Amino acid sequence: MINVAVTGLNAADSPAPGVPVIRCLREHPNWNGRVIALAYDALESGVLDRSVVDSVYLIPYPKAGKTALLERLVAIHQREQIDVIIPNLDAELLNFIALEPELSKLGIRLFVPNEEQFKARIKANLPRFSEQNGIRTPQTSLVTNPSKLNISERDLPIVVKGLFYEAHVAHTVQEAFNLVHKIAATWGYPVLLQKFIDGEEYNAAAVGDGTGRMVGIACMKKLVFTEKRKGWACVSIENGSLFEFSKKIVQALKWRGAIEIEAIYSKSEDTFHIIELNPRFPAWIYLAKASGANLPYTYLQLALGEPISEIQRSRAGVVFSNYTTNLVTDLSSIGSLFTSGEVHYEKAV
Amino acid sequence: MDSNRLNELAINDSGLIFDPSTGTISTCNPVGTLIIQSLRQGKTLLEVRDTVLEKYDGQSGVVENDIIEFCRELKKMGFVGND
Repeated sequence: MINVAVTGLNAADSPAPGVPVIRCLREHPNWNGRVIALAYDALESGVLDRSVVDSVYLIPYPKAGKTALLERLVAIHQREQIDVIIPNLDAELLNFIALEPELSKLGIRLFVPNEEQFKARIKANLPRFSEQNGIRTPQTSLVTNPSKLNISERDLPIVVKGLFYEAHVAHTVQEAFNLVHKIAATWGYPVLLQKFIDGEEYNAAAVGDGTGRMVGIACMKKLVFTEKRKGWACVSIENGSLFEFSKKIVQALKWRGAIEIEAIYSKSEDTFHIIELNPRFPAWIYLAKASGANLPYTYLQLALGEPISEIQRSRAGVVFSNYTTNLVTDLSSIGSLFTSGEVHYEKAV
Repeated sequence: MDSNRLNELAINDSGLIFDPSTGTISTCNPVGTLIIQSLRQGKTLLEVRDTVLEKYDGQSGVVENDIIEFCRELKKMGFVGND
């Protein structure tokens, strides 16, 4: 019996990966464990699903810092004897990375990159990483001062992105200016201006063992998009070039843990460009399991120090779609989550 | 025609075409399915035409042009290479 704590339980219109990660773990034939949800809000939708989680604990928001997080995790660990934590949100990862040595002393294992690896793939550093490793990424410039914003007709179309979230394509100079101000108002500066690459978007989810070896990969093409260009439906694919491209990235970063590679294939250049490298599992990770590569379980095995002899690869032709449903629960049964920051379901269904 | 590339496609009897390397999904009618299956067998344009005419009525020249047009569509959709 193993106790696995998982974050990122919100499953809203832009869902977090926590619930699909847990479903992958639970559906593995060798799974024998309990799932402890670590939530930032009592109404993160996944925490209401007792078929997914066994216990729920609120944890402090990432901005409260690593000390506050450690204190809370120590208290939870005393109750739950956590074996492994799988963090699933970008904003919390640096805190978990910083706490890995202390958590390890408590017997809690993580399988995350180090700070240097984490920072090498952030959007602002991608051009340097790409240049150093011979991997293509669209030309990118940072806007830190709006008064020096300089976009001309010849730059169009152009992609305007927030440092952590949001990306839009601008087709006119005015639209580009408006998007810079809109994104800065929401996420702050810098805002990124990225050359538009005309091509097809592809995604890969991979797991690296920290030595440069990629131990699992699942690739997909989005079929249906949300307004925010997030994939709502997708199909698994087997693409040799995307496989090699992903392997090269994992190798160059010596990535430890889960990573999502967002890429665009330029037909005219016959090459992939990195759009983003996300330091965690994607929300579509259940497709990996459904197509034969249970990457969250592979991740768990790595965290537990178990050897992975064979690379996990998904097969092509499995269609995946999100769909929304409703969860209902009696307020009294989750009341303790609001009052004492925890709730325990008797037994997962 | 690049029959190797065509051989990588997944095509079922109802005309669903799936390219496993790009995720492109499309459909074609029974005549299109027959043309693709014939091309996958490495048949020439004239052999494909004859295969179609064995099963369907049509004028030889018209069928030939239709096959060429269909191949252009396959190329446009990335289902075949430039050969």
